[in-house]
Amino acid sequence: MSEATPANRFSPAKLRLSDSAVLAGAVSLIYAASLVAFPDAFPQLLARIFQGGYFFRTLALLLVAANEFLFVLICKRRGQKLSLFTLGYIGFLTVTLVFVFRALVLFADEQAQISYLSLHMSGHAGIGAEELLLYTHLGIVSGIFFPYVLVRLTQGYVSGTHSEEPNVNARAASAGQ
Amino acid sequence: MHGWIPVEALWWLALYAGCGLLVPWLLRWTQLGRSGFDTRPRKLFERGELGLFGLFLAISGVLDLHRSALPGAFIVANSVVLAVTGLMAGYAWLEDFSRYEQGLSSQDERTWVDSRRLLFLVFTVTFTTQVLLAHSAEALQR
Repeated sequence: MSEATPANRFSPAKLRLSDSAVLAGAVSLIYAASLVAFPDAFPQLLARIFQGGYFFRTLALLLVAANEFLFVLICKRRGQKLSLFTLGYIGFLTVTLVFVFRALVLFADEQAQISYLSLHMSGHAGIGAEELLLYTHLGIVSGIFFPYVLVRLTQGYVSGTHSEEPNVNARAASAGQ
Repeated sequence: MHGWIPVEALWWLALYAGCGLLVPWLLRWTQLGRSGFDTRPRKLFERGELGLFGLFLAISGVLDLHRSALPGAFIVANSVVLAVTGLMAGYAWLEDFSRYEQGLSSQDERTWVDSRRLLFLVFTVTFTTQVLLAHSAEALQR
């Protein structure tokens, strides 16, 4: 009787959909404030990092650090057991989302290069600072919010599956009688 | 560096915050304030209505995006992000409403916190998108 249920064993720290919303919203607001304060310097800074070749690595590092820190904070505030498995899962999902974001930016970069080569539409080949500015906001917000949504959905699915098991067993027992 | 204020984005912010939150609360306050009823904003929105408002806000942001001249891939990706955040906000209201319909005990505190946080997310993401739209229009003019 004193044994932990399977659902508790799999998800010691329960997350909620709104857990990462405040952090994602605050980062989005800081992003807008940075753009309003430095309308020329901020896009140029992003473009310089992108051209330097360490844009995605920096982004992945920052997002993983922010998400892991947030998870630890949530566990501490609710007095829940810190799950290393969930920590690793959040990190994995964040890095996967950065890869998806990287594919999107590289696709936009190729499109810009093709239009430059074929039509000479813009003054430079590849993605511009303004376009990079748009995609970066998207990457940051989804990189913070979506891992938590996916973890919440996974936890809901796992606990739903385990709560179904006793019902199935009861139904099988009553059918056997 | 030149001075730049996204007037359109600020106007958008004031319009939605005013019509969606401030006016309903003021109407309730003028109707019930003298009768001794609880007229705090929380009382008006504690059943997850803020989440529902967040969903409408996200739809409005998606429509604005589709009217812009930004790259197609960005419009699609940003629309997906806005739609998901809006749906999650709307789900806060839906969850509470379903519990009420099933006769289960209401989780007002949890619904209030969830809907408030998710509305904040939708609001800031849509506002930043408006700032980015204004900035892109400004950059195209230059």
